[in-house]
Amino acid sequence: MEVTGTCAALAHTAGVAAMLFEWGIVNGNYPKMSTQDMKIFMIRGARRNVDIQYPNREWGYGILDIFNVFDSLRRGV
Amino acid sequence: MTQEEKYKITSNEYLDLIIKYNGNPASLDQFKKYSVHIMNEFYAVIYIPLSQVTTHLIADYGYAAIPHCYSLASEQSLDASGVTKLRKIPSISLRGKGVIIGIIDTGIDFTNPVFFHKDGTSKIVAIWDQSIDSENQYPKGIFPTFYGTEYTSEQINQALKSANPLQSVPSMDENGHGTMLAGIAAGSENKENNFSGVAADADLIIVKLKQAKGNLTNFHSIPQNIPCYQENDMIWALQYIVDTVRRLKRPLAVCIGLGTSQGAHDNSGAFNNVVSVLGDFPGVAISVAAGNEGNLRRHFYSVLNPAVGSIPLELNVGENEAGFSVELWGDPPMIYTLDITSPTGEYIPNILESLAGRQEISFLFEKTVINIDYIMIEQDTGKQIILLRFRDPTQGTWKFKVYGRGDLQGAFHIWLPSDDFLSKNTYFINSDPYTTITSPGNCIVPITITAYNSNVDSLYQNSGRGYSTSNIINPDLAAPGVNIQCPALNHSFTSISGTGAAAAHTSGITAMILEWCIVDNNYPGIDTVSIKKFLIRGAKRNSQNKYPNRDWGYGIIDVYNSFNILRTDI
Repeated sequence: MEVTGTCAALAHTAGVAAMLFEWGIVNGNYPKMSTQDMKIFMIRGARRNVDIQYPNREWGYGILDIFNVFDSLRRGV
Repeated sequence: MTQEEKYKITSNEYLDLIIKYNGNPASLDQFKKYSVHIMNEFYAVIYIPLSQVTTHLIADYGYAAIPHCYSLASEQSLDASGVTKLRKIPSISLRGKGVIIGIIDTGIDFTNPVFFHKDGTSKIVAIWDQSIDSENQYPKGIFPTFYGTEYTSEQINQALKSANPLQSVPSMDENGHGTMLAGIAAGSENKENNFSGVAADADLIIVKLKQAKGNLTNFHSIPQNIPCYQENDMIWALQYIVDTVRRLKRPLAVCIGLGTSQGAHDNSGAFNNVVSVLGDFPGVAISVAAGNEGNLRRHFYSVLNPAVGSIPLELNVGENEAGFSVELWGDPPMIYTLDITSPTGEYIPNILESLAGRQEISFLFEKTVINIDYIMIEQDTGKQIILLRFRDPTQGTWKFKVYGRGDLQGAFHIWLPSDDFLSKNTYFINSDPYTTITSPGNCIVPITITAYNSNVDSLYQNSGRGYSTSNIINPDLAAPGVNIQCPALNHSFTSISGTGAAAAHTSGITAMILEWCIVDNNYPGIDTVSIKKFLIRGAKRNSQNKYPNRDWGYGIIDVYNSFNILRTDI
């Protein structure tokens, strides 16, 4: 079965959040990680189209890119 | 917190930290080795022995754990001419009867007859003096304060009958600021001096704040002997006032004539949160001073474009400046860093980017020491903060270059401390007068008041300008705040200027509205937010200006017009 909608996107994001918690809290790299922190990590690592201005009302700060989030964290943020 | 530990609350050997535990007491277990003092459902204070305080304090506990320092928001007018006498408002018979006005300030001279009812009894229903230690006379609400001494109206009235009232109630305003604000808001009529408070029949509840601990003022290099009050004492003060008045089942108008330039100038922070929660209760109206920072050149603002990459700025440091702290707040997702060039030309390269770090910088040829704390994502705001604490800064022009990394542009603010926490000769060369409102004036809920000269209808020159960084419209309104006549110490009269005086004026007006709405039962559920809306709708606006604006908010408070709207609306 396939689902469409922001609900599906949300579930995807919750999974990414769990990965960030694992890195931050379980592995002890960032023990005080909260929604606030996580959001900014995700925004920093988001994929953005050079032809579009961000933030905007359609895309917000861009497309969640989990590889890039961890890549920027590894580089010492 | 126990009776045995309570000495730590006032002892300078212990540093206070505000911990947000959000109703989860288990999260406080990690601080078991210290004394934990729960303030309310959200915040607790822990007391750490100075010997255990490390240089990693901010990295370990977060920026918001260090209590903010508040300064007074009005000063005695030097220019005695053009004193504005508070006029009685004849066509409105409301004088705040049945309403209690709460003043959080430097205390009160309760022996001054302007604080007596017509029958000679005191208007003051209670005083909590945080600076007088007592075995167990401290306020004991759901969350006991464990410090200070509470004096009831019976004790105050008994004292007034004696030859020396201060013997049994030794609480005295040594500064005068609290007495002046209480007088403006609720002083009884004094025909001899042609004086009357705005809500002359209102009662009073007073908190005398204790001076901030030396270890905290020292942390921020705030000079000693300057009136300075710390955030946890402010929280206790407001909670005490609300709890006490709730027990008396009376409406409450609060005046907060103090403010701080610390913090992100938004709705975040412990005291800001408490003001927002308590101001939202039915029967409570909180008026807050916008602060007097607008003209002091202590704010810098700029937008960093990633294509440019850096912005230079200059800070002039005055002679004999002992020290001060500077806060840079940057909007995410951009990542900020800065370099420093001292007046003699010594160059300190970019401080390192990290999630949370600190650095101490000393100079080869200067005795200046700068402590830098760096937090990439501040817990309450999500913004980046760089806190620079200067000690013995060399006089002259300090040059900074702020760098931003990222693909999107980012805005950042830098603020210097408020009021007398540093000299007037330390300022930014390219300063920005806007976003200079002190907190809690940056909150959404309270009525944030700027000051104007009602004789010539011009804005008080030092008024803090809006908006707050979360784009809330602040200030909300303007009230008279230049050369306002008021009672002073030793039963004399004087005049003061500042947004603190304007906030006191407004708390008198809100007391009149509370009397009509709640005591007279016309609108029993009214709170700060709805009173603010009525005042905004009735405000006097100049047809030449666009409203709201960052100087005047929504205009000048017009009590007649607001009452007309109230009467016809309900």
